[in-house]
Amino acid sequence: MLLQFVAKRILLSIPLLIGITLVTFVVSHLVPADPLTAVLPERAWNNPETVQMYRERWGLDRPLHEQYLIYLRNLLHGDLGESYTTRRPVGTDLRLFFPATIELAAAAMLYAVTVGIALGVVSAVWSNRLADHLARLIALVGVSLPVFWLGLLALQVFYANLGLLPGPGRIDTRLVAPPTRTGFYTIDSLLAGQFDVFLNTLYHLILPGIVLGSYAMGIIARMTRSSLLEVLSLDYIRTARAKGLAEQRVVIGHALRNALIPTVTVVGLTFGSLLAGAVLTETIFSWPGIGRYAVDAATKLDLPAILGVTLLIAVVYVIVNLITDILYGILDPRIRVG
Amino acid sequence: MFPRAESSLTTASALKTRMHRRRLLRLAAMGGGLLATGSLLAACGGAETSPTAAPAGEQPTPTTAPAAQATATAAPATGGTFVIARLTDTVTLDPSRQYELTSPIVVGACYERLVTIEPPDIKTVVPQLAREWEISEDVTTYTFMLRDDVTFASGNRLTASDVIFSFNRLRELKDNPSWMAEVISSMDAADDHTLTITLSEPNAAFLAMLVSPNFSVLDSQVVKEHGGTDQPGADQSDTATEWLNQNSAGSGPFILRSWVPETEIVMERNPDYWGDPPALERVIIRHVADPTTQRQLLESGDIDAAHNLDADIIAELEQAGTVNIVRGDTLDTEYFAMHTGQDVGKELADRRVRQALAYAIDYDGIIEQILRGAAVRPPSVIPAGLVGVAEAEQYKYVQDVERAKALLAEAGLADGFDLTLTYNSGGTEVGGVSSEVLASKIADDLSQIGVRVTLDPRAPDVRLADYRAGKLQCTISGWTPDFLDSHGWAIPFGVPGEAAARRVAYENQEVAELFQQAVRVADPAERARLYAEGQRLLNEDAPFICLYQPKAQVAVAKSVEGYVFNPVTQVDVAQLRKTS
Repeated sequence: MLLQFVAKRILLSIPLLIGITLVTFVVSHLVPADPLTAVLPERAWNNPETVQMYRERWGLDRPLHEQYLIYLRNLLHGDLGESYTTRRPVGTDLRLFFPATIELAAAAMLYAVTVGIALGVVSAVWSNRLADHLARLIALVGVSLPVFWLGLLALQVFYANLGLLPGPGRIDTRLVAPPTRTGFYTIDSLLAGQFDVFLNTLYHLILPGIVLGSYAMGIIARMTRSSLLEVLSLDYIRTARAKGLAEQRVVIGHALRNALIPTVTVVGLTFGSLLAGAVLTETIFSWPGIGRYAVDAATKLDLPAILGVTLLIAVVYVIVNLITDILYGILDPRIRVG
Repeated sequence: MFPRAESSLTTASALKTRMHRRRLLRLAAMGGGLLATGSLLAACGGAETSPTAAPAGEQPTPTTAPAAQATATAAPATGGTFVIARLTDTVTLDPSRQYELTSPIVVGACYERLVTIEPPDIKTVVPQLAREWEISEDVTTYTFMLRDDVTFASGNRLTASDVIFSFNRLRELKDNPSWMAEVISSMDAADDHTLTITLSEPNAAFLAMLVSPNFSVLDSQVVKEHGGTDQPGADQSDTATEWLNQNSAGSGPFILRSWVPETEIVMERNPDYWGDPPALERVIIRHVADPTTQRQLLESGDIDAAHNLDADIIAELEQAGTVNIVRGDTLDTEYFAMHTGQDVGKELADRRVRQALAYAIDYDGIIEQILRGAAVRPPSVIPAGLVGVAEAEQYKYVQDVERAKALLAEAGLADGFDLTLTYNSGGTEVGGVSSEVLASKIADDLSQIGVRVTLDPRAPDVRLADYRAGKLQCTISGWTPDFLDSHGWAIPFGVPGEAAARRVAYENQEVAELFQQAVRVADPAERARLYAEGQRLLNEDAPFICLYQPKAQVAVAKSVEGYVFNPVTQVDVAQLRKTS
């Protein structure tokens, strides 16, 4: 049953992904500039041999529809083409930059979910009391503060002034990155047995993780509070209390589980936006992630890279939505997938 | 000096470790469960003795403790590692393909060239791999006597055949810098250490071109082992670049250890270097895009040099006096281009109108207000410091509003006219100046003589494409150096149909002949005379007016010695040392 559902959803996403490549391809070609302008330096641009070499290498000498069909055919073979700016296969680039973003987004999500749900529960249980007001204030601040401002401030205070937390980058400036196996520094450092690098990586995740996760934290806190308040006013909760259950068990065991369903939706949606929207955090924290790669690609008209990033983010959204739907069923067995 | 340096290293790292534990305890006290566990584990793990995180080097180096920030209270940074923060633009570290601004630091340190320069003097070419050389009277045949004591990091001896391989490969790859090798018509090695290069035409700039990192000498045996070739068709068949992106095959004082794109480039000392060993053990170039972040890292002691600070931050740092500011002349020039054709240039097709505009611009204001004084201004687009530029100083335009008005009146435009000034929307010009700010300043200056300027911002790539296609009435643009000789500017700007001249339809055969002649004579004084005369005529025609030549400004930690700006390689890392 579940397998069937997953298979169906994956099949349905294929036309969606192809549609995304087509739209991206067409929109990118509406910019009235030759991509070679952006990547070839002045004097090389004057050397016809070099220009011709690159035109042929990237298939830019062919008509547009042919370029698109070639792209699709290569895509089926898992080949995303070569980036004009980095001169590496886009697949290699994505494997290089995406793990950094996932690592950062995971840290952000861990912070957002734990703190967000905790704040939401505190808020709902002591609703309209001091704790509630405080928790709601924190959530409001998290939602309203712009990420770039929060990031710069956090670095200035916790790194430059107090020296409590490490500065930008995935590890200390004087350390050398662990040998690349997965691209996740946390995993690679452990695989290489470099425990000091592993710890260093964790410290470096704290500040950018909190900065990137603050918005999602606020949303989750507010969503948890409102849905928990609603559930707490339902009859079955009154029944549970009447049975003489401890308040703790009423809230955690009975109410929270049902109240979390809307929260799961929000978590799923914000995770996708964390990946796509990490660019500001990545810039401030010198984080070599996919967000910065995407912005560079867009400004340089690096079409294969733009397509590659767009596809990757689309795939992530599809997967996250799928997981969200499956989680519904686990949280509330009455919801059937299918 | 090494034993002494190492003992101080040990003290420094011990201090850091203590510092590190204290910080962990503070963090644990803050209540992070995960962190508390981490700190216990770290304490048990014995951070003092854990090996370095670097790939196995020749000599064990003391590790930098995790999370250790060298704050004001901490001991000086670990002696052997030098960290540069930079907005890196690396596409490849293959010396024969790279054509960006960061790669020359690496190629400069890991490879060597026949000749080099010793900044701040950029006009005098001095020996590196070549002991001495002879140049024929007609500047067509160059004979180099190579040193016979040079070995590559691999242990192979460097011979003339390595030079031939490297220069042939540069040309056959047909990549961005390949055009530089096209002037070579043949190369002959009389013996292992005597090399004769014959050019297809006389070229007095060739020696200066050889200073370029693209003319680095590669270990032909090692490069071939990894798929390299110098044969025709190398653009398809050469597969060595991937290896050269992660390793070096040179004879320089450093070895490339690793490159993680957009993250870091790591170089280590070449233990078998044939010359004087460098002081540093390791150099890391770290990608940091944001200037404010670079400043924080520098002030916290986490880096030793910051390359991309803007004028405001430099001014603040200079006032605070916590770091040293190193300055040097770049060879970048920013210029104002005016189309000389009737169809596109319109009123600008009249030479008097172009001269009027050149007299109207407040050059001192641009340098003082916008660049905070960190720039010079050569007489024409050829940068100061090169042959024939000082000699042309008298032809430089200075602001003279009355004269500008008179010239306009003479051209029958006493009431002014409408002009469209195109610039990069949201872009930056050379020297880190905002395109918007510079364009507005010029528009403001021109309005003083009655010219009504319409500002026309376009996406940078679109503007460049339109400019190259010769579609812009006037624009502001930058030019970065290809090699260290006036020839590199004289031809593209002064010869009809060449890269820059074509964009404004500029044609003056007299200028073209002077500039073409200047590269055919050997005598520097005669060359200078020809370039000066060419610049006089070029300025009279005024298709391009130089606005400024920015200075490079690098902030370095107080503990750094020997930092000199190099317009070719940014900095010669082999000269650097740190005091603790």
